[in-house]
Amino acid sequence: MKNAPRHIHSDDTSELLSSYIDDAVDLVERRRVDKLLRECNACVMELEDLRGLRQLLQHLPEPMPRRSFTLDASVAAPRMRLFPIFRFASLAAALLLFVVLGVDALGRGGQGGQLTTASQPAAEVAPLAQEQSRTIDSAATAAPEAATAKEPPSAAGGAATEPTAEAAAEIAPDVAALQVPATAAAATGEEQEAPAQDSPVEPTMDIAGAAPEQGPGLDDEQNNDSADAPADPDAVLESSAALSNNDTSSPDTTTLEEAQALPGEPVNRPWQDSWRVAEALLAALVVALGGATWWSARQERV
Amino acid sequence: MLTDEPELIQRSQDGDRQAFNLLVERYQNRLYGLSYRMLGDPDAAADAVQDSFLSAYRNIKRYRGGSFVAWLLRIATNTCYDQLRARKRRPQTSLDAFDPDADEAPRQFTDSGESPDDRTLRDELAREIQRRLDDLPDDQRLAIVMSDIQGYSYDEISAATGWPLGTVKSRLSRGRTHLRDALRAGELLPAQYRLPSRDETRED
Repeated sequence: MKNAPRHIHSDDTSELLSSYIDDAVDLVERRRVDKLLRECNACVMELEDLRGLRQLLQHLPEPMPRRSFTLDASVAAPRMRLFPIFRFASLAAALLLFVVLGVDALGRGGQGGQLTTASQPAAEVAPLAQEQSRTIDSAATAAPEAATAKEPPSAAGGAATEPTAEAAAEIAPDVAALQVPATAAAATGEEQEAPAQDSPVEPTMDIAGAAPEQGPGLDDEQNNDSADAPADPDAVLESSAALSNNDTSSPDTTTLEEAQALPGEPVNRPWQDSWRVAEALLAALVVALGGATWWSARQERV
Repeated sequence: MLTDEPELIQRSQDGDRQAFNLLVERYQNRLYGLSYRMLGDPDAAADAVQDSFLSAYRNIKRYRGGSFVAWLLRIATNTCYDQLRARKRRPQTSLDAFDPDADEAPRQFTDSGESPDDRTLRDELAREIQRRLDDLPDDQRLAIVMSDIQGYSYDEISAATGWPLGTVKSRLSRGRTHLRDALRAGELLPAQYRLPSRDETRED
């Protein structure tokens, strides 16, 4: 067989020959094979190869287990089914997930995304204060850039506040430490005036909540300074000091404390914290039930 | 001693462990042979057989008649597939690879009364074939093991695997073709164990 030429048959022919050696063909197939064997030498060789292979496999030594697999009492003891309810855990998990997502969506829709907007500036402002106190030396050189950034287009509305702050955060730390508060303050200054002058419509909760938070303590410091001396490095130093020094009693600092306190507090919504805890617990329950479903299915699989 | 299989099954379904153990003794070699050829490792095969019998005992009340051995083979097949899937997720090397006696493992095969040389050649051939079997897709390997090595009919294979008859035929055919090609390329096989030549086959 080693030197037997290779012949490529169609899968159909190979399958027919394979079934033929097992005598698993009907009368029509048998006649077809008989005809093939008369006309096709390659088919004859193929058939003999398959017979030889089957003969070889049939004479393989039978592997014998080294031990018996009889069950002793301890192994065969019935399993403790502590949580038969896990059979329905997948359904419970799906329902809980639906409830969590549904209530969460309703809650967010009702408060206009207040949770997201209120928490975001807090995370942005705190590192900015640290950055500024650490980069006082570079403030003088970067102040002109800050001044440039303080000239936003007059059409900049409240919606420009977040993108500006986020984009600035991606710049190199030294520059960002100066540009972000300045830009935020400038934009915030615009916002505080714009609703009263340009738009008769009441500002949304997003804008109203975010505006004073984007530039805590910088509104007064930098906006006032920018009117007089936009490129004055002392202004930046003052704002840095105001941000990093919490125990000062100046009126500006009072504004700073109020502004810093705002982002972290769910103002007038004490139920939000409770809901977040409930959400976390429900999410953990969904995960636990999902795991229980998998475990239960694994145990019961035959 | 009970020998009637339906009676043993009935008593097993009533919780008689001893009756079930009689069934275990009756079929454990078949299940071990199937598992060994599917997994290619004696320890993994032993684990699979133990798990299969345990699973069968715990679920024997779900057995609703028909071929009991086919039911057992189906459980063993699923157990082997589980192990193969787990092995693919967490590839690991068998300890036999580091066992100096692993290459001299005729102890796990039946003693055929051959001379030591013949036995060595036979064991070497068996290992070569097993390596080629291991390289086959799982479904094709299962079809070959059940049909050509264990001698089950197409109907029995279909009952044990749940495959339609046409699927059994096609997987067996493809598996045979692949294995034949692999063995044909295996120049390591001892000459006397090479596949029979055409002349030899014609004499048959």
